[in-house]
Amino acid sequence: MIGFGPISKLAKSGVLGMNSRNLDFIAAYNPRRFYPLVDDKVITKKLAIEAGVTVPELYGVIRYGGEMHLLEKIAEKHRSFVVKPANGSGGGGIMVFNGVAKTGLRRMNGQIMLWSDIRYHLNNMLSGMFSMGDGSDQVMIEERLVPHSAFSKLAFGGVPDVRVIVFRGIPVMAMLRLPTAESDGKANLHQGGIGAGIDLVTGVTTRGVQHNDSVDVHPDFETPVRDFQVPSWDEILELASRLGHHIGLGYVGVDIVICEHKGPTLLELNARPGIAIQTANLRGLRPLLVPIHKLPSVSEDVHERIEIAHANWNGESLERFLAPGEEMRRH
Amino acid sequence: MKRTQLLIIVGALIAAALGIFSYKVTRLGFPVVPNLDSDTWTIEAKVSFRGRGDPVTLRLALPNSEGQFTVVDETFVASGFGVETDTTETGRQAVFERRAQDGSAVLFYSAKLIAVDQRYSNDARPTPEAISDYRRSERRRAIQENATPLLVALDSILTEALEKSAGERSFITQLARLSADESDDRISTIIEGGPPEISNASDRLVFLLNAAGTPARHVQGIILDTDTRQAPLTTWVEYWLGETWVSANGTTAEPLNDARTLPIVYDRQPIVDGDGFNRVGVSWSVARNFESQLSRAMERGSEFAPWVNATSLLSLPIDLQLVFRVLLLIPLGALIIVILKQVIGMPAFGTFMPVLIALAFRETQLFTGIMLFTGIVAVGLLLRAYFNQLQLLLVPRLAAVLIIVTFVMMFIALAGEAMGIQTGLSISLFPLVIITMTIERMSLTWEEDGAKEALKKALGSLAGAIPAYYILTSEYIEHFAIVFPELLLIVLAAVLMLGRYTGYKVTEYFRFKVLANASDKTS
Repeated sequence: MIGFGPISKLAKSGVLGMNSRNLDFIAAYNPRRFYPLVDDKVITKKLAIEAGVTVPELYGVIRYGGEMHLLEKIAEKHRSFVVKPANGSGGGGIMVFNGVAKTGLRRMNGQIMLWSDIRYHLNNMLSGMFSMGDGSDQVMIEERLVPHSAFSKLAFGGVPDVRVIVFRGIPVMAMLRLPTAESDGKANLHQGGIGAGIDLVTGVTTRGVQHNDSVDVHPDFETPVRDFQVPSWDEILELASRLGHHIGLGYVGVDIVICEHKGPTLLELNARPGIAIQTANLRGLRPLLVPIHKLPSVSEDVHERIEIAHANWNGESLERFLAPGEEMRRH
Repeated sequence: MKRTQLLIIVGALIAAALGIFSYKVTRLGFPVVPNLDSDTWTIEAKVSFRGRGDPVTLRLALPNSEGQFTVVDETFVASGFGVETDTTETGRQAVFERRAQDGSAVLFYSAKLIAVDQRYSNDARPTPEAISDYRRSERRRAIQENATPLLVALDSILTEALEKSAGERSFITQLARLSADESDDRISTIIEGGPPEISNASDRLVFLLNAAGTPARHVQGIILDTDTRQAPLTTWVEYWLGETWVSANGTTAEPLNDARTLPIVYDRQPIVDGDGFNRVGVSWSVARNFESQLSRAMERGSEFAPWVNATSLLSLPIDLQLVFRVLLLIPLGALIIVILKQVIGMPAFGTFMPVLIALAFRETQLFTGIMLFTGIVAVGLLLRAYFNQLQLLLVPRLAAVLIIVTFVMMFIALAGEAMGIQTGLSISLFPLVIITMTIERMSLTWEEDGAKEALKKALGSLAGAIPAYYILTSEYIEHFAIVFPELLLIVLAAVLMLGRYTGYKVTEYFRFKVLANASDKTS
């Protein structure tokens, strides 16, 4: 490709651009009809259970304003829970409560949110303010996941999660997302969370970024964000691979929370995972995606897929994973 | 496979566009560059009224060929009406008649005006006579018989103007200056005691000029300035100076550009009269015609290639032509958006917002447009923040902001009018709903991703609107679009090609700079 210096340098580093992600991977591998499976978190949950993956328990669904009283009942029973729009995107609208007071519900930061404010927020969710597309949405009430104790000095006021990009059922790249005071307990990078690149084979973090800038320590705890061993790493990869294979979407982002009690648990799936993960790992996605794209078929066995993932991450040729008589695809 | 298909389509589109274009240019001689000094115009009058079920006679005043323009190619569209033109002492008229008309009806008149050089017209016209009851000889006699305050005031003003002037032209200027000054006692005497039809400065000027023996008259007509669908009816005066009528401003008596004034009626004759109808309204539209080179090309086209004319937008009524002059620029705007989004990666609210903003700016001019846009959005954001505290549901809240934005616009229009700034007409075309959606999306982004992100996107939207504005206002591009609409197929081809663009966006270079530099070190 002819280009100026900076652009060809970018190409050499293997960075996957937004246009290429959309056309070469999402349009080519993610049939539109499967989108509702991941966009609607109620359906995703059913599929995940089918695939044998751990999910947070669903306490209830509010479909319209008249069902608002469900929330009070659930609050009485479980006291600690999460409220989120079923079709939400980018973590918008999610509220976490861990206690009930007379006037309202207690949020993670200890503040009491008044019942009237809660009802207003739920109404906004139901009218689709935080959702993809337009029109209405449903509100899910589910179990609050308690993050693994290893994260006590790494996550500020929220739940950290691991994002794994899975391509044709094979994990390709992963990062750990850590909430900060600035991100208001949310693990989203564009809201000021920290993204830490993970060595896909060992599960050890390699570097951290916040707002596209390299960071070595968590700003709120001063604890190092690199060289951290993510707990239950092999299970995480297996969960991601299983689900990515089962869901029918070739190119998908799997968000996993490592729960203190339940281990790796599926948070949500994303049919259009962002490309910021490349900065967190200081590695372009394209050289990792192309060899897998060239594979004519992918194994049904999750362990073999993880083996491919390891070899791919280490830059080894995938020839040895070809079934007898198969050849690599040209394009 | 997809690639080859696309390339075939793109190739076909470009070939078709260039083929038609070059045929029109080389064989038919369509002009590639607009001639901006063209001096032919098309005017169109649209008369709408309601009949009462009685016989209708409607007389519409028409421009005549006596002035700077020759009227050719007159056409009337008036289904069900009998039409004839009629020249009376007061001017030319079209008379529309119908036995019975019930309900509303619309009549159209259109004509082409060709500027004629008066120097070569040799039929000398008779000098008109100043019509006044107060001419010098009568005035003198009347003063001697009975010195009314009106006559004295009149005489004093005329004498003062005469004393202060060196020739006829400066006499007229002096007279205009005197007559415009309403604090002058003599002028207020004329206002109180003069003929009842004198109501403003230009009436007084005509009255005074005639009294001084200079023939003068009132004109209602149209200033041919820019292409517009709503040409206002303007009033000015004409006075006889050196063997010809001179058009001049009613208050200052400064001469107007004759090539741009089209008189329709004189001396307060009505534009429309008659009986059997009510609620009559007349609107005029004006368009500068494409130059004769183009009409020759069209003539040649009708001989050799009738399909060219049949598919040419120039054969549409000018009302529609003016609409298409804007509409045909939208594909270009869309192309700009595609480039901004796919190739540059500019953040913006919504996909086509920048183009819609640019279209609104076309009416307001760039600077006022940006001020209005930021002002209205800022007010809207404040209100939205307040409504959020009131805990309203999403759709009613949007509706409330929409209503408030309407009021803000009304207020700006009124304030602008009071301060004499022309904004009123233009902001009415400002896309209300778009602004409201911008406010809503901006405040959501503001809440979720912070002020920085919201401002970045707002700036992105505005920054996208600016290049779009320059493209949408270029006279050359407008000429190309309306004379050679087939070239828009190339725009389509470009957009299709960009639809398969998988390269980087410019902003991604900055985003992934670290990676690019890292690969530099390793290699």
